[in-house]
Amino acid sequence: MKTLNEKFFKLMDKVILILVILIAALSIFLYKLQKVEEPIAKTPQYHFYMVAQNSVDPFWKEVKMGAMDAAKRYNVAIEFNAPKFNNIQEELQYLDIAILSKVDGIITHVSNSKEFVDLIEEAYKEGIPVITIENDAKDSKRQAFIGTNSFQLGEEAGKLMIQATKGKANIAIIVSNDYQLDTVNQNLKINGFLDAIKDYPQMKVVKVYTSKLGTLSAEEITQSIISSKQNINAIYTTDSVDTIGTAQVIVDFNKVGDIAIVGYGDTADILRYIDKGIIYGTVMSDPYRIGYESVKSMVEIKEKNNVSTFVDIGVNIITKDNVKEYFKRIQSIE
Amino acid sequence: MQKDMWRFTGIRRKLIVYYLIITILMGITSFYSYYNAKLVINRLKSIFVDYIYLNNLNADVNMLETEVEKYLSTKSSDALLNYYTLYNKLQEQASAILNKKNYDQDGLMLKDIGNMIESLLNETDAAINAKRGRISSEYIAHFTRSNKISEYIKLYINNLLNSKLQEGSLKYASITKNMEFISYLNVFLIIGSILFNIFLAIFFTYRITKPLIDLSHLAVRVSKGDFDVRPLSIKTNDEINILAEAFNKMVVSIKNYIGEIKNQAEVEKKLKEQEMQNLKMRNILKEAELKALQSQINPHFLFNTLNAAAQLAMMEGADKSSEFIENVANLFRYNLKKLGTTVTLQDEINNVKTYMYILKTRFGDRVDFKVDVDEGVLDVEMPCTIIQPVVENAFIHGLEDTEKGGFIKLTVKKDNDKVLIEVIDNGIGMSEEKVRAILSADNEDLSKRHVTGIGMHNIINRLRLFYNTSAIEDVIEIDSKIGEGTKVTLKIPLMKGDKEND
Repeated sequence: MKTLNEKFFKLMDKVILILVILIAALSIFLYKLQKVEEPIAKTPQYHFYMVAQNSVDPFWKEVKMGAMDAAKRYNVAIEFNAPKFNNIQEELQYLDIAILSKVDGIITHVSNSKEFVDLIEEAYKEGIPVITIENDAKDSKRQAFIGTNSFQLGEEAGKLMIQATKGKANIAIIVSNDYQLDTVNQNLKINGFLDAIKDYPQMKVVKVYTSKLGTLSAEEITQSIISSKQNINAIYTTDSVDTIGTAQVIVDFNKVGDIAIVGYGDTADILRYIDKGIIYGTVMSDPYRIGYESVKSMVEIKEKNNVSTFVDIGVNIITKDNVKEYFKRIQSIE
Repeated sequence: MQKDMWRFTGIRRKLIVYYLIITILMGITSFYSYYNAKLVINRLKSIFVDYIYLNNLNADVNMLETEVEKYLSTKSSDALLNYYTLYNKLQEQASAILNKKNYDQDGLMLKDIGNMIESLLNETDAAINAKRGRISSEYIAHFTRSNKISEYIKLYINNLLNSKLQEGSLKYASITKNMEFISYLNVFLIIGSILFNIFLAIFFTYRITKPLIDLSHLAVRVSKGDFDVRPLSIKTNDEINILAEAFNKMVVSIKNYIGEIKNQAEVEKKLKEQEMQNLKMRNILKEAELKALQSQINPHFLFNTLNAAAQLAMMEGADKSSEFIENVANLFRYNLKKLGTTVTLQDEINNVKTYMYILKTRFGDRVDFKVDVDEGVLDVEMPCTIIQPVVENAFIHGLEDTEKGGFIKLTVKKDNDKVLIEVIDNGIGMSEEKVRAILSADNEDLSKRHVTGIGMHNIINRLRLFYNTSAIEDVIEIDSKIGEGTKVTLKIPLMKGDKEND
């Protein structure tokens, strides 16, 4: 009995010691848990201001991602601003704010408008370098343009159309009459497209339509194409919104397979249509590279004051073969 | 004393350690709760600090706008004064903002706001200066521009507020989520530490008091006089341990002392008893000797006289007379011996034979004697003058009054570890009451007519003392019937060398 008691006491001694140590360890652990680790970032060298066309398109999201990655790489801070939906006044406002805020550099999308040119002029006066992306303002005092050659875009679209129609087609082209693209660019795209199909005598462009007010407009055009007796069996759209509208009408009128679509853009809807075979394929510039290259060029401007005025990003071609890849990319952005 | 104050051992150390453990546990729990509460409050505070700051900034910009407008429309000096106050305030704030090197998204926006405030101030200044210089076209342009800039600032502040709000709500969500977890954790910790503390308190108390209680139980038993307790085994390594060991030693010591005292008392008692016995025996011997002296007034004279008579008779040729006188002289000589001396059985028998010879000579045919002795026991030692008084008794009380045919037989035989000496007569016998009276050893008057003056009472007592026994039947047995005779049996233990005892 005695010895049992002693053993019990000795055991309890150990148990208590272990418990006390455990409690101490637990409290230290809990204390550590409370301490949120904050990585100490290096103070960025420059503060760049980026204005995008809108903040919902995957295209601009990818541009932003590329810019952010480059910002990390070159140790600069990027302030990204964009109207939620395409809105030129808002874009201009952001540009004005950027100039008033005396940032170190402005990377902006421009629409085909004189106000952009004026603001870029003002920025130039303030000593703030401006880089345009995706769309160019050739007449302005911008330092560089990062984007894709529109002729090349048209050319690649033409090649896709040849594949889609096997060299025989009556083609309608829908160009958007948005502010965003200057007519030079639009013409370059069409010229590129025509250049691509010129060796195929059986392919001809029947008509060039101009869409006006976004989606609804492209739908109307497509409806009229379907109801007309022009026997059009291929449509080339130069804008992502027009591309979606056209595809929707094709589905609604049960013309899938009868009319081939070659479009522009990589939104989720477009990717789904490509996956289902409603849209044969789209061409577009690589948004990630636009973002990345623009920041890189801006850093070069700041440091060397010397940069090529045009950085060609190249063309991404999306068809059923590689659409899965783009789905993944979109998912990674969302 | 001073040393003792700071001693850190034994029960003191244990108690201090126990209390420390419990206190530290409770302390950790409370501090953890306190720390968490503080953390939550700080976080919530940080959220609201930003809101308040931005809100104030917004208000200041609005007010600046109002004052500028007021001045431009009324040229009031009050408005101008207010304007400059606000101007200074905003300028300070702007430079404070621009000094902050914070390059996260909110930091960038704040930096933009700082720059825009500076631009705004430039514009408003220009507007006011133009107004003073009465260049109306310019001041309107500057005012319009300043309005636009203040719109931008408000937009940015709003955006920033939104972002902060979003951030704050996220933070708040994470805090509340965290808080829920932490409050559960706290409750768990508090309950756990309470339970653990209760357990510790009970365990420690039990541990400290258990040996004390054991010790006190034992002490109670010992204090009631029960020294047959099992020694307490306590291995607590403190004062109680020392106490228990001391207590064990004490119990053993007390037990030993008591044993010793008891032994001593017993020895003393025995000694006293022995002394009493010795005293008694000496009394009896003295009494017997006194009686002998009384009855034989001058034995030496008588004995010498008888010797002379014997020699005279021999010279006259009267051999029988000489022999008789010699035997009488022997009888007296034997009786002159001190009663305390030890003799052999042989001596006693010879003495009896001498006495018998004298009686035979005196009474002739009236009495007959027979002696039957086992030769092997003649060396046995015994007190002197024992058998002769018994024979004399048998003659005086049994045969003296009978006319003829009296008979006394003496037999000595061995019986196991005893020698049985039987004196048998065929005299008148005794009643049972008389036998009992003799054996009760009180009756003294029977001895008066004896040669030696020694009665049965004396014999019995001397035998009992000599052989150290209180039971009468161990030394004597009397068997008698009225008209038929008496048989007296003396029992002498076969104990050689027994006399050293005395």
